[in-house]
Amino acid sequence: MSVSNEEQVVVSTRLDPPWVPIGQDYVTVSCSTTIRLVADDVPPVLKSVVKYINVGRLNASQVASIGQIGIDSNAYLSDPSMGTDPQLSYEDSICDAIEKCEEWLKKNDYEACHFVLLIHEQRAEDTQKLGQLIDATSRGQSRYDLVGTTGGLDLRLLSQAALLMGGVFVAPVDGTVDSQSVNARAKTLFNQRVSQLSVSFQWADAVLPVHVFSFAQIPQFLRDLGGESTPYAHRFHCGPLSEDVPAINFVFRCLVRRKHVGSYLLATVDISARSNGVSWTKTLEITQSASDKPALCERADPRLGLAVDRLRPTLWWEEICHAFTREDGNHIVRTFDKLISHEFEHGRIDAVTALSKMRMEFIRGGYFGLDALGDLWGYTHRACLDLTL
Amino acid sequence: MSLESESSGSTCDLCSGILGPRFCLKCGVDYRIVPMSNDFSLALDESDDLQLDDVLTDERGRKIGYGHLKDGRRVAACIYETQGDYNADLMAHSDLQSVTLGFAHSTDLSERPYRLFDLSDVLSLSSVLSRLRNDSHKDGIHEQLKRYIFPLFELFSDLHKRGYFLGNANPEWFYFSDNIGWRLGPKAILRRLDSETTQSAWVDVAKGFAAPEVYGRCGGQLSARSDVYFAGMVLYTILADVPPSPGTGQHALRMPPVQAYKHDVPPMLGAVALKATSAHPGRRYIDMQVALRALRKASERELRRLTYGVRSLEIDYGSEIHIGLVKAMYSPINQDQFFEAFDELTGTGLFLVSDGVSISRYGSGDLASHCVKEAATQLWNRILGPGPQTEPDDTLTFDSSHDLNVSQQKTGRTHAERKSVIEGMLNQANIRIGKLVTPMLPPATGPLESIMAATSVSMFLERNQATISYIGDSRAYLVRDGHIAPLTLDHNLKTQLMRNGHPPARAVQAQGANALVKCVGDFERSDDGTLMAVPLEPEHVKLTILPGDTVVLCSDGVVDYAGFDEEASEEIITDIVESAPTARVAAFELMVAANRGGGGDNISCIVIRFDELSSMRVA
Repeated sequence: MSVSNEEQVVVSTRLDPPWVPIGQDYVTVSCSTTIRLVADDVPPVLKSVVKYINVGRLNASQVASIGQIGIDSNAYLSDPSMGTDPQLSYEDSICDAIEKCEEWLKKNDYEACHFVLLIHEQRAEDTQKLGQLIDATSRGQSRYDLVGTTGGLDLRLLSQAALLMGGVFVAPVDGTVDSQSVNARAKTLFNQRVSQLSVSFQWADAVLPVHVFSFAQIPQFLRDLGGESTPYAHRFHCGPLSEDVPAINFVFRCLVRRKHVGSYLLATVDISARSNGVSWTKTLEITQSASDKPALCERADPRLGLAVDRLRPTLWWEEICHAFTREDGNHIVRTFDKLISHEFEHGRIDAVTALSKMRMEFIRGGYFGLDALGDLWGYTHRACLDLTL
Repeated sequence: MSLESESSGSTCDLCSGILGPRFCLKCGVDYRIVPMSNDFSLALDESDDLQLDDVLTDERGRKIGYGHLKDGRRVAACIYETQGDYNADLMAHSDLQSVTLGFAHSTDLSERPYRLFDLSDVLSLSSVLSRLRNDSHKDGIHEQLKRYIFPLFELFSDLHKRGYFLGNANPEWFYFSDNIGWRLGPKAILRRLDSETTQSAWVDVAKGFAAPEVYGRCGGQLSARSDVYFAGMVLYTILADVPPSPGTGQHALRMPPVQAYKHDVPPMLGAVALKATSAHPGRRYIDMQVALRALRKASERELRRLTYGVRSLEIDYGSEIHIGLVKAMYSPINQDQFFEAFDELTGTGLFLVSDGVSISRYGSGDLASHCVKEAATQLWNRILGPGPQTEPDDTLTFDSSHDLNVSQQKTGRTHAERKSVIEGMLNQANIRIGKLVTPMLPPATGPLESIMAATSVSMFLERNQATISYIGDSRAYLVRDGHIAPLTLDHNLKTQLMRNGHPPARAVQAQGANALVKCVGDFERSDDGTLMAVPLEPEHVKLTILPGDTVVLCSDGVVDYAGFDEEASEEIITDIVESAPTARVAAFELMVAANRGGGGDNISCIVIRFDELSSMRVA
């Protein structure tokens, strides 16, 4: 199923299985929604404002690595009182940085801007205040990316914050900034064709949503809905789209039970965005047929199956984070086992060796810290950077 | 968008929910369904039309339907959209005519390109499998292999040799008759081995037969190994005599040993089926030519096993026990025990591994496994010793109901006699455990929980006739020719559920899936509250040992930790056993591997190798 429009965007869906068998059992259904620029009719580049801001003081090695990214000094949201070098200007916490960005927006009378928070050191955040700030920003048009530039950061907090503020989280690699990903992201931000993209899902009453993922440049595990019916629409800010990132994919898994042959509503998807100078919204109804014909019910969509399989480690990373918070070592080890098996299935023997070593060190040493979570991120998230549908 | 605001006020016929303008707001059913038409008429020539029914479009866009020709023959028609589609279909290539049922095709004058397949006097693979399952007078397993499996493997092997494969093969693609063997029907989709596989929005999958990669798991890349999975699954269903389980491929699960469904399956044939149906493509045979060779070899070995008779063999055995590097950090006592004894004169041997259950309130796992070992020692003394022990332990006195019935120095027992001897030994261990825990138990009549228990896996050997007995989740394997065949089944909840017919995909998710359902240490309370040992029901496997066989007995500490999953552990066990110069070295290396992989449990293993008697010994 696909829908195109004058905004030069195509929306398409895939279902796995495409037809569900009728019966008394619940069937797991995967569904993807892809929002893609029309290849031969790309909308023009939108005027975009991208501002960088430091959170925490940079050390010498960070100065060097940030220098490699080549951020223009005018792109920094710096405090003139801190001196002439904008790189030396910094905020103490993410909350301070967000407040500063919002003040700057008001002062300069901008409606929307894309802020990139460069996190150089982790300081204790007032989570209640952070939650309120995130809530406030999600109602506005601005988006925030978070970029970790050092090891030992609380990646779970940062990735969740970036997700809720409509941006992406770029995790550090080997304790330093992932300049390749930051540069790729900057290229996308400065060449936006579709911006302020926002997608909401409202599942039909008889549908039990389980997990929601998204992937474009960086895969994200968006939400665990626990397989329970929800009357609410779940909205996710995302994007932007550019020629380098021409598509963004949302994948959700749900449980359905169909007792009668027919075509059923699975979810209603509302998409809103801005392209070609105009804001637009689009509504898509995802339907799926239930059949009693074995020949139809024994069909599968392997591409979507593969995407779900490859996104699964991002869910396991979240599970490990939760287990880490409640100090459940047993769950961490069991999740490691799943992850190792998954990497083996995909033929990544180096990852199998490294993860087995991490697992063993945890079992023997009993230590699992933020740095280990950071290392794990590389295997759960970077392994599916090349994912497409 | 609010669904509530679009309510039309009427109710749904299916669920009585409120209807929106298009969908029921409760069950979501769409009220604008367009019925599908399944009938189709194909113009064969100017004067003849073929009426087709059950017409469905496949993933390649071909319409396939079934009908009857004027002469009464049942045919299937494969209809293409364009001549280009017809030419692109490898099934239409002339070099493959001998492997398909195709007998006629469209001419230049035809309205649409088509191919006809003669389905008279042939049975589909699904029908063959269904008939075999429901036939109570079917041939033996070796005859079934010869009639159905070898020709099917040969068909696949032939395709692979020519550079083709099927990928997502389906039992409905294959047709059989005794005259022509196996042929491909109209639905078959051939792919080239050297070409990139392209996937449409969906593929037809044969649930239960489709490899995980057909569903997009394990990298999602179809290859000759996907055919190996399919053929292996056909072999598995014939050996196990059960329909395939639909969820195993979809969830990339490993099949349980074939013996879970049928206990007398020749072990090496089961090993071939298990290797071919591995969830991970890299662990399967590289193609069907290799799989065919392995199956032939396994079949030859098993036929030889049937006729080999009773002979003496050279035996080399070694054992190893270790507390487990990590297990030792929180539990300083090794709860595993092993017993090994072999009398060269009579060729009689008793080998046993016992693993104490860690968590017990009354007694401890190490004590329980010690009871099993002591019962084995007593048994061995009765088999070969001078008579009853001079200072009998009253807790181990054989009671009349579980008499070991062991005649001293007797050899040449039947399998039933050996079973009885081992059952007696295990029951004695059970009684002893009961006597030890009785003073600790509170005087209550409630359910008995947390009494110490142990597993046991043993091999009672007389010349080359072995009886392998097991209770609990310790393992015995037969290793040879690069294959490893499980001889035992875990007596845990998940295996029990599978044996009771639950799909593996559900059984592995059951609460307490790994909990033991049988072990030494099984009791009931009598009416007066005293402890009564329940007669144990171990399982037994009869095995005629061939020269070149190696039997490995081990506790779960080896299987759980040598590799990162069970299959990896079994590969490691095979590699170690086949490459080590002696059985002792093999046992030592198994212990090292289990420790290297974590050592999270006690480790014990016995490796027993068999070979032809050397000429000097024979003399």
